[in-house]
Amino acid sequence: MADIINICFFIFLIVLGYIVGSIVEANHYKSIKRREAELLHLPAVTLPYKQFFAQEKVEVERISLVSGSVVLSEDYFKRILGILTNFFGGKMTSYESLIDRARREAILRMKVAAKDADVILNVRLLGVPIGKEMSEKNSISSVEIMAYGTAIKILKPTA
Amino acid sequence: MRYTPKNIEENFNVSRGSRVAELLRLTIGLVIMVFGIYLLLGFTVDLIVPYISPKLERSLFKDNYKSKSYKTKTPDAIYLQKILNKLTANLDEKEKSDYQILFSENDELNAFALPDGKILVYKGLLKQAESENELAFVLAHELGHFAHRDHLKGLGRRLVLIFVSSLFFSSDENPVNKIFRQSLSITHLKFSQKQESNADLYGLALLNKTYGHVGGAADLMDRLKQGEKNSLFLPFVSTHPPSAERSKMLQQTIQKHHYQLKKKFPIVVE
Repeated sequence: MADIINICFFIFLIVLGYIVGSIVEANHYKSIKRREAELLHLPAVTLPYKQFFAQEKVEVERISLVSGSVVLSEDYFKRILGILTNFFGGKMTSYESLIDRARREAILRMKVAAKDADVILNVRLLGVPIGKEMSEKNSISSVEIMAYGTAIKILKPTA
Repeated sequence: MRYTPKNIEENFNVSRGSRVAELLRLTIGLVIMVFGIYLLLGFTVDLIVPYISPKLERSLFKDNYKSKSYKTKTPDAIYLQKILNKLTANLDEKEKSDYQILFSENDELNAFALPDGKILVYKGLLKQAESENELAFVLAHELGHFAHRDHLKGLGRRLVLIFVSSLFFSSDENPVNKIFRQSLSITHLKFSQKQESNADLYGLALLNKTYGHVGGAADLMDRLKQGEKNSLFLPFVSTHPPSAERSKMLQQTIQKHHYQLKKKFPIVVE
């Protein structure tokens, strides 16, 4: 009897994780897409300064280090799917959307941090797992993605 | 260099397809694999067990019961041991061994055949029984498990279970692992229902040999089945077949072998 209750509870958690996780994810993507469109005017590229400004000579008003980071956690459904995928191997599809959201969110936050800059150069991304191993007891499993780069504010020539 | 901002609509970083379908596919794959290995090793255990001699069994489980709080010298235990001795006197020469009663004050209604010829009887059984013959049938049933080496098979399967779950998952706390162990243990219990029926047949024959009749054998089952009527899950999770089924089977066997039903002995605990 206790076994059956346990199994039902387990299935309930997966279903709940899936439903809630899907809603949260859909809302997050909606917000990411809206803000990406809003901040489209600010380029964030991996090119270094010399290459980006190879053809035009500009006077730089301000240089600053900008960064944005985000920590996202898995839901129960993703976790179970992850454990199963971990066993058989193959694409960790359950975590793909999680990492994708974290990456884009980190870049967005970096752009917000850059405020009125004209371009962010040398952009790098960095991922750090937070929490213990997935299989360990009472572990939380989440990931931090950090985006950082050099924000350049160009001195506009007065007309 | 001119920078032209461009919004990328399509997301290449996230795979298409339903995650739920993927979960189902992987789960089914895992279930098939785990059960395959479990069954295979289970059958291996069944093959090996007949080759374990009572001597080896004794040396393996010699010290197993020392720390437990089972009684062997209380009036209840001595009474049960007397019935057991009556039964074992009628065993075939090659089946004879040092069988011993272990008595637990627990109110659970159960008895177990444990390795090294120990029969664990719970107080609840003694309370429920209304005649010596009923108790004798339960003990004869457990002796049937010994004769069929079921006690070692059960133990072997449990070992296999632990082995399989540790093979597939590194930690006990992994939720998938936990659920698999639980579902495996249910099938493990269901597995032994056939063994239980065989032990019933053996017990009936031994009871007849010892007392000259089988009166009282089905009494306990008849009383138990009244209590089980309302339980929906019981046939699925129980270690024994439902009492109603067992009672029916016992009646059929009694008729088939023309066993007699005579006067039962009362329970006398000194």
